[in-house]
Amino acid sequence: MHSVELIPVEFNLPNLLLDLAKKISSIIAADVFVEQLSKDISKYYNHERGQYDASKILKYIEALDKANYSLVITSVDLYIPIFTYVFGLAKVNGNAAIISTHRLGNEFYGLPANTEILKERIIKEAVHEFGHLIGLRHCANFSCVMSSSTVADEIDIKSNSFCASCNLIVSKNET
Amino acid sequence: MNNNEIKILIVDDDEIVRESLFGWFEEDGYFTETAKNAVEAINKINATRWDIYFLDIKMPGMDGMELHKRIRDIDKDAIVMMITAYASVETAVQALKEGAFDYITKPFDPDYLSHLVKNAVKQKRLTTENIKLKDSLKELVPPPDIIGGSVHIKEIKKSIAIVAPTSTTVMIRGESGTGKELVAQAIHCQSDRKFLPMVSVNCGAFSETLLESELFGHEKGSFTGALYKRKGKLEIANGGTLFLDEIGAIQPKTQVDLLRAIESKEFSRLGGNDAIKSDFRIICATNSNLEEAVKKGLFREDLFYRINVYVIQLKPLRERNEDIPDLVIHFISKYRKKMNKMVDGIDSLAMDLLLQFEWMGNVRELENSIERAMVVAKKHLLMKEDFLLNSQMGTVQFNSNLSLAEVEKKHIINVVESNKWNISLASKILCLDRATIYKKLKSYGINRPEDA
Repeated sequence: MHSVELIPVEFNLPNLLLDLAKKISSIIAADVFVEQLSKDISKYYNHERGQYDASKILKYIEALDKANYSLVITSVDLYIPIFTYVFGLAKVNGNAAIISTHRLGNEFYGLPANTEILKERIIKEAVHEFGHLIGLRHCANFSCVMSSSTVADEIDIKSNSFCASCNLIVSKNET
Repeated sequence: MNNNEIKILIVDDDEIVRESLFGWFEEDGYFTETAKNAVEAINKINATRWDIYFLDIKMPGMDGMELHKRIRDIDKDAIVMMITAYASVETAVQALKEGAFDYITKPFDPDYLSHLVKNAVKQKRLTTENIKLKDSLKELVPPPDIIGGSVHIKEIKKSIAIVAPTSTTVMIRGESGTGKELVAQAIHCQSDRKFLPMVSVNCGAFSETLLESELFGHEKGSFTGALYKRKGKLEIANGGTLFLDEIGAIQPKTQVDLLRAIESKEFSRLGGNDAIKSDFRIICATNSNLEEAVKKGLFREDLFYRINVYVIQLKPLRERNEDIPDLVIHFISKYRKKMNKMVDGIDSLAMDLLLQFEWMGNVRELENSIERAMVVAKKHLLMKEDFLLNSQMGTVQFNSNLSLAEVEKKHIINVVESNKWNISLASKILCLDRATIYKKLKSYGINRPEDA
């Protein structure tokens, strides 16, 4: 069974953490526990863009060389140099992933805040990035959590779990 | 084509860009590799085929623009995306003019890249599908059959195979009815132009002015009756083949214009000033002696040499009798389907008759005779009398060596046989009374057959 450390960094919704860890755990059938680390990511802030460099943060976390998978959750806005923003980032078969809630909340799009929608989006993004860590690539099945989402509405369309094909790949990878 | 069958090559000197794009495409399941400069990219291109390229415009050494040109030289169907910063959008636009698929300005929305790649993959899939469909179409639309197993026909088929893939002008010579247009169609169908039209013009069928309009088209009001603008056959044949039948019938004035159009692939419509470009291949046919026409000044020498590049000379049917049985079987099969008649062959006596006949009208005449025989045939085989009933084969072949008496004898035999030995009918045709016919039959030793 996999173990995942959910690491909040600059995360402004700490009261959601335990609930999120529980739900993610039930979906991915892995132990998910919250790891409180005080990490300073200010050096990855790009003043010109007003965003944090996700790839650099990821490299920093990877370098910690933890025994379990690391899933960083943050409220800051993330980017990678070629993109204007990213919801999250993970390397296929890597050991660390990062997700940002910055663009997942309705309020970012001028709509009334809705915690339930936000939680559901966070769970889907977390499961999606974890899928990459265990070797999954984007899935063409739009209802699979591994389908690619580049806007928030697309996250709402998909379910929070792997489709049968992705599950099969996961089983094969494990054997 | 699944995503893992699509190969993407990212060429950028910036490691972060290479890594980011690589990671992104890897998540999508594409087969992706990176190169840090043009030299490394060219090595990878020489080693394997890539479907989609992402090229940074500004790179030390050979830049993305130059690399794009090199890729185009190697693979004209490659899909190339240029990566640029704000400062070099103009260069990116230039790349688009040179055939790049699109360009992206750093940094870009992940959503935009996602759409861009989806479109590129769609384009690649369509191109691949198009090639496959064309290949299947080749099997579905076979070139016209050139029937016959004679040495001559084998040579003709070889000549067609040699000249078809080129764009060389072909001159097909032969008597009327030998199949010149069929040969032209075979050349067109075996060429790369087969998916575009072969446009035929019978130059002998038009007056000079009408032929000019037919070939070059005309603008509205260019002559009385020119109520609308009209495209000429040269323009319609763009990308395909223009078949000029009876080229010897073209008048000198049109010959000049045609020569210019053939040489420059440019012409103007009648009454127009705009130069129209058209990429056509010329196949000409004639049954007249063009060399003689050149000597007499009726046909321009320069045009003659321009069109007389690769000559295919078709022999008349009477000089290749061995092809007649194959042709007969082919035409019987053709008309059996068309007429839905249960005729499936030909009687040996009838075949002998066809083999002995002179066929001055060549294959066309043979085909018409078979068609007529199929109309009147009552048995499952075509019989000798099916041809005698209604064709000119029953008519006497006159020549200057025959005496008057021999001509009379042949004509009488022909008429009475054509009328199934009904002497009353024959007497009306010959304008002789019945007694005179009996007397002449007796004097020429012609006996009525028992089954008549």
